[in-house]
Amino acid sequence: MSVKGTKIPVELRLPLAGVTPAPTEQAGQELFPTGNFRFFRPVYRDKMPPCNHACPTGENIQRYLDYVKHERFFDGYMTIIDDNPMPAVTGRVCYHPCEGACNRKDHDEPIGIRNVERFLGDFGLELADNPIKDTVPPVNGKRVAVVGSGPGGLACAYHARRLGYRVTVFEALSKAGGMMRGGIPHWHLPEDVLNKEVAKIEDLGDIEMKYNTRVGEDVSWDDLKDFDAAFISVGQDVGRKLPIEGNDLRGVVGGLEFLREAGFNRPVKVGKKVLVIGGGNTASDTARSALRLGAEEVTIVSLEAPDELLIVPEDLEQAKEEGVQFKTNTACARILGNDGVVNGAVLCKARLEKDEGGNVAPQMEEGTEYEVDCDTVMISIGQVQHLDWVPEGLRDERGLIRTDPYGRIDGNIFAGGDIIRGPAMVVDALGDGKRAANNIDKVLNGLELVPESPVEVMPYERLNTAYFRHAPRIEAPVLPPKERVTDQKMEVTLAYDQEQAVGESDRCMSCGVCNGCDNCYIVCPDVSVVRDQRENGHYSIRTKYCKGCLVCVQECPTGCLEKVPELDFDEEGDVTRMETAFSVFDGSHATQSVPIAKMHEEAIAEYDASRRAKVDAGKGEK
Amino acid sequence: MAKTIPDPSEETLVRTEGSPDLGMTPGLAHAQRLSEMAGQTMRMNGCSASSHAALFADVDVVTAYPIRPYTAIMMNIAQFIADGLLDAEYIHADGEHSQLSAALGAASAGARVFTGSSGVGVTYAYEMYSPISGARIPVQMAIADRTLDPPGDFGSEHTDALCTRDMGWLLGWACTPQEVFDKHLLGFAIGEDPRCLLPQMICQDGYFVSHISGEVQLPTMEQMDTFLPPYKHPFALDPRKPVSHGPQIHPQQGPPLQLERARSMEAAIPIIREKTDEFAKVFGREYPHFVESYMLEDAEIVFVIQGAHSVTCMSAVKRARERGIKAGMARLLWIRPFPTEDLQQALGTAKVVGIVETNLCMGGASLAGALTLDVTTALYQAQNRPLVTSFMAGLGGETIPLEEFAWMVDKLEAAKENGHIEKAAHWVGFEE
Amino acid sequence: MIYHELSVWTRGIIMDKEARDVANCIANAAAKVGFHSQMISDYVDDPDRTNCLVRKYARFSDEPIEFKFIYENPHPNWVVLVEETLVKAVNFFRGTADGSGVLVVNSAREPEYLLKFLPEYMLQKLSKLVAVDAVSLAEQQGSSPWMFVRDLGQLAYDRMSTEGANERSAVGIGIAAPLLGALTAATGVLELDVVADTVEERDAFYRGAENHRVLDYAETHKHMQEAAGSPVAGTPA
Repeated sequence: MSVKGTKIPVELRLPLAGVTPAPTEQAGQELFPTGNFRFFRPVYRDKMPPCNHACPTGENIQRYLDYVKHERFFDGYMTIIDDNPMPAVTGRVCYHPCEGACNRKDHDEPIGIRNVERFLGDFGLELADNPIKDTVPPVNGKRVAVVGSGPGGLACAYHARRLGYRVTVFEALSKAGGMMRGGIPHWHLPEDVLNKEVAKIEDLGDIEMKYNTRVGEDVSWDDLKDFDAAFISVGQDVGRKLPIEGNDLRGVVGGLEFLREAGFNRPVKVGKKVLVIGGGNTASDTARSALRLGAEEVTIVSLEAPDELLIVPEDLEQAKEEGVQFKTNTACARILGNDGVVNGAVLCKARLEKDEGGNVAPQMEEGTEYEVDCDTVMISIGQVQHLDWVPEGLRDERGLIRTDPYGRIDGNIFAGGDIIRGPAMVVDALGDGKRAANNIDKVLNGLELVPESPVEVMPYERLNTAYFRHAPRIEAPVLPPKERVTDQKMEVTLAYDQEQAVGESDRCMSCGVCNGCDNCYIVCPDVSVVRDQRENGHYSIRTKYCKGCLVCVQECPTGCLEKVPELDFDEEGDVTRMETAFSVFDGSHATQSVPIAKMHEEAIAEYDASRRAKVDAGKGEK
Repeated sequence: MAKTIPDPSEETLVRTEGSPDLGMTPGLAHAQRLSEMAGQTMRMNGCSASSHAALFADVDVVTAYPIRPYTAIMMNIAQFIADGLLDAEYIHADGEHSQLSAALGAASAGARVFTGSSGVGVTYAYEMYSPISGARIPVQMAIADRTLDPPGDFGSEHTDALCTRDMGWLLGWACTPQEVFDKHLLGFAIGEDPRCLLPQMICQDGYFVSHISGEVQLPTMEQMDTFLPPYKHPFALDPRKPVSHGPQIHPQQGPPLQLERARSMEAAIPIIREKTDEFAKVFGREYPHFVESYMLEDAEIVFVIQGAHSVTCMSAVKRARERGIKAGMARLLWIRPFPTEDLQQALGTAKVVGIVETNLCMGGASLAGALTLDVTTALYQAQNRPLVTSFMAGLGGETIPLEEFAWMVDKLEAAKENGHIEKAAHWVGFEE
Repeated sequence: MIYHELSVWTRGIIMDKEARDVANCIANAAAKVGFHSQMISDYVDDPDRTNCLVRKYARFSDEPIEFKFIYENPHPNWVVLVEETLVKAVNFFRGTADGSGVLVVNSAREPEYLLKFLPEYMLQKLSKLVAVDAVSLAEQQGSSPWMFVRDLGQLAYDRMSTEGANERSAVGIGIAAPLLGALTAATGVLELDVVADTVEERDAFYRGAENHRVLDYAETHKHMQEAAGSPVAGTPA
């Protein structure tokens, strides 16, 4: 029925020609509950930032960059160590797949994530107390064996311990670290940094390190079954032999073996003229270490063409700066010697081919052989592992252990790191260790292992890039080549200072994740974004009032705000129903008459009283 | 040289074909030439009727400033000009005062000028009403009534145009889109008559007439040529025959000029009669000169009313007659000049007159309504001098339903029985 | 006496035209077959507020309509929601007689899902709930999902008609056509072909008439009530 004005009840009538209650934020919104104007609702839905997605350990990179931006370094550190126990190590040696995925590369240059990670890792090492200890629960009585104390093993030990398991780590060598100690040179990863990170993990308690204990010799496969679960990450630390004439001469050494000796601070001898055979990162590390340990001339001989080299670009550039020479598309046909000692090599033009099994099959060009002088030849053409102790059928012909998609070999035994994937990154092993610990926890709790649900990775296109001013990447300082080649222990890449770390973190676009920038709060024309309520960490939407103009969604820099059809929300509290189209008959419009009329009455009474007092006083005078 | 009349882009015209008799609101929007529309019967609302009247009257200058509900009139005219149907100067004013100032200037130069407004827009232009009528410039203004503030209300109240009733403009209300259309043409014909030369305000209730559609018979070009020849002002501003408009005068010169102005209103009465009859001859639609009589022959209780609510009032009167009550209705078509004589005649048999006031005239002798002041004055000299009471109804644009008219009928009946009225003004809906 | 009131609920400006078309076509079709009919564009609710709730009305009867100035439909028995969220935004059955309301919603969802948003006092008035996916049944044009297959340029013309100016575009276009089809088919009072003659996009009209889902609430409700042994609350007017 038409609402007849003359029939409107007193409480619905507009007082004093339509004076309405004070337009305070709360009263105004109550006055006019316009939530039903809305057919799309703005919803905060965080997406997966590409950096986070690309990181094998799943580091919450966006979050710690945000902490660093706000100079909350401790929170940043604690964020990293949730996923990665050794940020000071990965902050130096990681090949940073995160930076490769960073959306900022489509904007200007990717964020220097690794440098910030190193900043936080070093921050953590400087702390007087080990804050991780507070995060560790008491042991639950179950025991996990970890074979190998490389990044994979240590990560698994760390995460398993944080999940309440007592851990025993078997290490064949005398110190922990695996390839981080025996493969990565000190000028890249200083020894004391590694030692401190390992110490922090050992410090958690109930992690027993059994050094000089080689699986297959001191411990058998069956011994592992005494534990509730086991994780194998023995890595691949046996250098491949080069199957050519002269490979047994004195002066022919494995690159990996050379790096290990140096890494364990054992004396090594390097000739004046060194040939390094191989085109990968190990070849680069070997060559650069050789320069520092006495060689005068180092040449990398690779089958790969210049653009095929498997050396991380920044390392390649640094190697060249230091004077490492390259003979690409070149094979070593044979090594020449005199008296059983190397004195030269025959090289020839060649190119890289692979056979059907994926193995390297060098194609040499006949008639292109030439001789070069050298006194040392270092072979860095890949590595393998001895796996005789692993039951047959669980390992393949290429020296790798076979696992299911969850990293499980058999029953409660898991594996990870190079031994399941071939030579890979430290961070891959760290990720495998973390995954293994989590899966062990699931299996021991009787849960099924299921594939992870797919995540929505935030693409660059969905960011509101107008909000991100172009700014160049802050590069970490690097020692000058002449200085750094003088000492095997002199770190090449230096750390960000605090200002640089904060500045670089400030470049983060927080892809798809709300970082509390307040933009929605500011642009909302209807005061419907509330930040005193902490939904999604930062804001909530006043759904009774928000009209669904979607300015906030349009203007969200990070793209974490989405529009969702209002009808998807079917809870009772999601309904804002008006009685008529024009809400003067709803909300506090319906009750405004009384308070306003009262205000008026009070004003009249006050006026009357003051006037009567004056009049009375006047009478008294007369 | 750039085109003065832009072609409607193909993109926007792609989907605009449609048979013209479709739709309750649409008018004839898509004709390429005026002659295509001429003679047709269309469904259109009051706004559309006003704009079509301006189109057929071939106005020269339109001055516009938007305010609901009359806005659509100017929207349509702008579209007519853009479509090339109407060759007129369209002036966007920066407010209603400027709108009327520009209208005065253009009309002084001899243009046929059309303008309009609603609600507070009408009152914002107040300064200009007297200069326009005093200069005897026959500008035409379309008013779609709207309640004055406060508070903001789009509903129809006649207060806006009634505020200007003493400013020397011809003033009258239409109650259907057809009547709106016709009254605009009639207004031009009367106002531009060299014996008259007065501006006209053609009013329609906002929403009830302006936004509800009815059928409108559009004229043929021949009818237009016959009834409304091109406008020619006798002393328009023209450099070849220089004259001064609106000079400063000495106080002694005032009385004769004001007498002249007052007499111009009286003189308009016979011209209105003449033009109304002429209109009926040309177009075949007969309107009473000033007062529409409905069941007045032997009526004892009579409503005096103007505007849209007369439609409901007629239904109420019919129902009262069915109950055996001798009711009637007199609708005022023009209230400036006020038709004293016609009204006295129409109410010849009335014993009680109820004036329906859709306006607010605060603090007057009538207590609340403006119409009552004039009607009572007119009836004071009448031979039978009926009882008079007024009804405040439909304020803020509220509908006056049949039940309320029935209530008013009862009040009038009671006054007739008692021989005296209960009170000078009833607030309908607030009393038992 | 035959008398029907159609209330079309829509959102200010951006979907005004769709609702106007629905009301216009029903009023025109009714007039064509001899009914007294009326179409009313919303006026009092500030129809120029983007997104706000706006109404368009049509009324038709075999007797003259005496209260043509009543702003709102006092007893709507046909209700069309041009946008689905309106189902939870307003009491669109205000004044509807118990068990008489035919509700047509432009939605790709199932009627059962829409039904859960109606509180008891509205369910009581419901006769049929009709869901029609008018957006996909309509002739596709334009690109803006905000304005249901129409573009911003057209909106400028629509905006004028919102203020009461002449209709610039053809009547019965876009999602109005399938909505009209579903409404006409579900109510069964006016013949499809009669209404189709007033609709510009006839194919879309017939698509709507053929493709919609009806939930006969009053019927099932009656069975449920009977099963429970209680009388049916209210009967259709």
